[in-house]
Amino acid sequence: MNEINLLRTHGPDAPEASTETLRLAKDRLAREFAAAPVRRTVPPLRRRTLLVAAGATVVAGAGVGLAVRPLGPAEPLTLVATTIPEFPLTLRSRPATLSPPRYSYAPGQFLAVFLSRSTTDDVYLLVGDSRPAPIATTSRPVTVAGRPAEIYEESNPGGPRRLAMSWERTPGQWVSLTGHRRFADDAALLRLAEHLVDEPQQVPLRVRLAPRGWRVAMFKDDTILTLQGGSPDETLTVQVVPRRDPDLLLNVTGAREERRVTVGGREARLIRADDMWFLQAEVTGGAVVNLQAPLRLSAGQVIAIAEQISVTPRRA
Amino acid sequence: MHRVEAHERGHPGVAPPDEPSDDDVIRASLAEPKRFGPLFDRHALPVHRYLARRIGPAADDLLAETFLVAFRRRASYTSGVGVRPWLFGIATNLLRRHVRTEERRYRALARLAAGESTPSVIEDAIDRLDAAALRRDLALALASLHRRDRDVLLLTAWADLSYEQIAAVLDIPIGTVRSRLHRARRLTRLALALEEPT
Repeated sequence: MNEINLLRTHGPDAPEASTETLRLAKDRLAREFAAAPVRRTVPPLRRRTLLVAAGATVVAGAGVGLAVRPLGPAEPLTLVATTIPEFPLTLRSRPATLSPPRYSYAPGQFLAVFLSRSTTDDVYLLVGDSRPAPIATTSRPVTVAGRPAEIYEESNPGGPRRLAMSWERTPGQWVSLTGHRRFADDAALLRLAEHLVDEPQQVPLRVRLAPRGWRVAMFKDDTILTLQGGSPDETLTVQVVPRRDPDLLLNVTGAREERRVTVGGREARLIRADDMWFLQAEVTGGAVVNLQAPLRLSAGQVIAIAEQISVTPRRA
Repeated sequence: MHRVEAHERGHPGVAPPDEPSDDDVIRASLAEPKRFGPLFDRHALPVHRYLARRIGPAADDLLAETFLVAFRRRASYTSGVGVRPWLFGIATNLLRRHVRTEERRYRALARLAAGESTPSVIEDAIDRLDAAALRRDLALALASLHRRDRDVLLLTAWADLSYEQIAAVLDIPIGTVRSRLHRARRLTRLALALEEPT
């Protein structure tokens, strides 16, 4: 019997969920239903009819001779150059056991994760605009480049050791270095901190064109990048995927039609789905990306954005 | 978002005949949220069991959270992965906030298995000691694994997901799934071999 089967037959087990547990969970979910916004899906023909009706109303109200202009959400979006935040610091003299950083971002927080080749000695470097949440209630003071810092040790009896050191590196720039196992050591963290320099790093996944006013909402682990406009529906997502999907029409939710298009001189596929565009393309360097964009953008705009996506191959 | 195997190993045909498929339910729930409800009835028990095997009683809360997250993210669900694997992926991501609880549970279970009383009949005693030692060693092995490796191992063993499904729901390349699983299995085998009952 192999270890997978042993886990199934002799691994930790637990009793089945009680009726009460299921009822409570279902009640919580049901309360969420009531509060949820409803996405209206209108068949294309019907949607066009509504737009015509709206336009006719404008004409009727404003007098003959005024241009019929789509209202509110149907207003066309303009594409402008956009910039992707850069990680503000570089860890010079990265220990050989650590891989190059992988970046994640949310407004106010930028994280570089240095995975260890041993899988247990990872280092996290967080840069934020406010004091990071401590991982323990007690700390000990140290000094980093003349600035006061605190080292917190996570309480994890019998488990792997984890230490986090945080300090305000420059006014408004808080840095937290977290070390696991062999890096969970005061001296090791202080040595790493000595090698931090102000040298911005480009993140590997970038897009240089976006609707006017849209901002980077987050990126995750160098593989997902999300930009957002002013409303939840105004979301554009780029994701690096392992390979092309041969059957997008089947697998994209609500897919209606597929077009062969060209992105960066290579064939790409553009799906029109019920409530989004979905484009899959191979970018320079060979990475395959999926781009999801709202239908407010035209097909040409989606392709134009895709042309401006780049993925820097990962360093060794 | 990429294509994964459409079949759900070990739990085919989740929707009863004559009822809308999981994918249809999700699509309908975009316009009418309460249509999401049947997914809870279809998948809550296996998702709870997976969570409970990993963190014990705290699974009750995480079950509700898993379905709340799924409901809020239903617009981004893509049909290739399958709803149940998708839910297991959400549950696994939520478990990351409970790593210490999970590891404490495994260690506690290992202590419990080590302290089980010996029955009077000698053959039964040997069988039970073997089983108890095995449970102890498995629990200790799980506690010692890195969280990422453990996720892949337990999605394979307890959620019965394929490499492709794990890659899709954890948003990692399939090669990473293979290497993490290989490492987790090797370490588990090692733990079982090195810690024979005394």
